[in-house]
Amino acid sequence: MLTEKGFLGPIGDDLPSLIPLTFALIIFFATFTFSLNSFEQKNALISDDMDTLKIARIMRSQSYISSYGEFSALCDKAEVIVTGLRFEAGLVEYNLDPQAPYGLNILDLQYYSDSEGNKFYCTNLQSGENPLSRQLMLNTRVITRVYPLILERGSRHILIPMQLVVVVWEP
Amino acid sequence: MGALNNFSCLCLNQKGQAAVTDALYLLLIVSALCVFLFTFSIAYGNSVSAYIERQYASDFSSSALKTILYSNVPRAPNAVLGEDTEEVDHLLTMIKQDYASDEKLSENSQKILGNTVKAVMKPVSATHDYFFFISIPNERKPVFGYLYKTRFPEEFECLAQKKQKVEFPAGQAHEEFYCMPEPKTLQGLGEVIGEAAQTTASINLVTIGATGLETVDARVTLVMWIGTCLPEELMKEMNCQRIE
Repeated sequence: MLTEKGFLGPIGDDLPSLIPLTFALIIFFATFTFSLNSFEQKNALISDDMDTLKIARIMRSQSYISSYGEFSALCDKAEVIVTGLRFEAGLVEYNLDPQAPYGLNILDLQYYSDSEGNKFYCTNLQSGENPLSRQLMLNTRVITRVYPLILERGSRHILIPMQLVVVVWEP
Repeated sequence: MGALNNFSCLCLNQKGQAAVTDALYLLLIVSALCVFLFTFSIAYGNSVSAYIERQYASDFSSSALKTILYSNVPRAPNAVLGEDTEEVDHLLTMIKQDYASDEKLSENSQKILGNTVKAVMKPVSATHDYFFFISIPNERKPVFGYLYKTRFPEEFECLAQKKQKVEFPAGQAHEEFYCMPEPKTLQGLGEVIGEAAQTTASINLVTIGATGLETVDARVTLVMWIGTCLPEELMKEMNCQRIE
């Protein structure tokens, strides 16, 4: 039997089948690794988006802010909601001239301060941490959401539309 | 003995072929499953991302409607609201007072209301079109409608059968209209714009009847959608007039 042409032996005859088996395993593990990375990446993105919505919903509340005290209370609630993300949120004035163009520079937002000097600005940045910068924006994903709401302003408590700007990023 | 040897060799060779064939079948099945897994991983999360975007649009629409209805407005149509504006009033109060006099809104009120809506909706106006309208559902009567939509190029035929030759000043990417749609025509709008974020609120208007002041239930609706071409026929059905 050993002298038959092409016969390598019981195990030797099965050696050619190892080639497609190897290809199958390589294809499977490569696809599995790619899928796993893809799932984890998308889960992280979705989680960041959901956290941004949570922060925005807390800060937005009933779309009506009567005083700085109320804003500050909302800020305290929002600061403990998310971990692992950094955010800045605050009220920015609208240009209520309907003909004026619209634009926001999230690196240079002019947050509103009332006549008593209270700045309607909220963040969970720790002391010593760098705020959002152009360099940081190049390396991480930044999510920005804008919502309109009403703020009582001035001694006459005039109800003026303001923008709630929420900016979230991974540190 | 020789026949037995031949028979044995034949069987052994067949086993080797069977092993290769089995491996090829395995490769084929694994490849098919991997293509399925790859396709699934590419599409994973798209529906959730789309849901999140819809939630943002819904939240924005809800906040915008509350902001518009709660806000103060200047009494003068060309004034801009601020802490130093001389005469201000609640938007709803202004609407009620104006509607009570002759059961329709004056040009002054329409302009103030339209400017307020436009100002509040600025953050999304670059990418979204929207329609703000007030109606009395029981009487099927429109009271006010403000439409902000994207202006598409002339060669973009939309759904119309004929090209619309209209002259526009250069640089305007959007158009504004006052519209007074019947309730049934809004269904046609819904069919054209597709998925939209809609928020509705109830308000009370006042009319002067035979027995004095009478309260009328009205509805305020804000609908926003991704910029879509609206056919000219639909615009006519909605009784839209361009704001110059």
